[in-house]
Amino acid sequence: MRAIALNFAAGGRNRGLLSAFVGLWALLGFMAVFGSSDELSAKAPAKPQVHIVEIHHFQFSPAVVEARPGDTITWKNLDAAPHTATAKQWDSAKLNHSQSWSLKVTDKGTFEYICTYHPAMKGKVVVK
Amino acid sequence: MIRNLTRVAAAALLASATISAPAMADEGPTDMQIAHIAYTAGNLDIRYAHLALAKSSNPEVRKFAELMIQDHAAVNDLAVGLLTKLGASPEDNATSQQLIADANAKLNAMAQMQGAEFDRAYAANELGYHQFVNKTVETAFIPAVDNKEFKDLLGQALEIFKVHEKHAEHMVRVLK
Repeated sequence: MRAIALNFAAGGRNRGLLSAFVGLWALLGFMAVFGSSDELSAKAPAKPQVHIVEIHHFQFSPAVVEARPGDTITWKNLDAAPHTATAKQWDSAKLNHSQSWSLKVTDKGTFEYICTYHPAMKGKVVVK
Repeated sequence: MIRNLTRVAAAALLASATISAPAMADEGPTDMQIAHIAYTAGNLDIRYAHLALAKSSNPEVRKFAELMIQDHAAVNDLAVGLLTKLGASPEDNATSQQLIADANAKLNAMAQMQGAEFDRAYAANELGYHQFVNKTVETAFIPAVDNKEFKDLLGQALEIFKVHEKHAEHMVRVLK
């Protein structure tokens, strides 16, 4: 402590070294309490994402979407023919050409869906 | 020369089909004549579908008919939108008139049928109609059309009509 006081009194270059030392000490203390920045991001809740499913050429693309609760899935119909995205739990109703429909998923699970007009068109939403 | 050949091919294909086209011009159809023929063909399938909904109680037939009304109306709406954007008007022609005359005859004949007989006739007609239209659109109309946007729309329509053709094949098998 005395040495520090002496160095401080010397001023100039020593004052800069002191500031760096104090800063490093504070950073180490913060990390000891709260963890590293990587750990911080891992612990933080994931930011909700928007997943786009294009309906084109009579297919859902991608056919399988993996999402987390809170994410939003948006279906866009690029075909000339109307389509739907219909599961037991939800239904887009008719989507004409260039129309979109969004669903915010809240429950975990696997949700298989089809186009009710063209049942050969199949897709899946996996929420985990 | 190539364009003339494709137009002749279009005329020949239409003339050789079950739906005759006696008055197709020697040069083959123009873009706007093709637009008129395609629009007319879509509307006629909608008329067939309305007849099916009026006469049939078969769920398979009714579901197919509802799909035909929806999809052909959607394609025709897009066609009207494109033509409006292009400031163009479809041009009536002898082939369109022949399509209408042939369809009227078929509609009148099918209107006399009842029950399973009607269902089988409707299914068979839908299969034949889509086979004919798809072949014409794919091998004659799309190669002959000049306007890129119109060509793209015909491509999208063909994709839909091919799905209908497969669906009609299934319906014919189920109703046998």
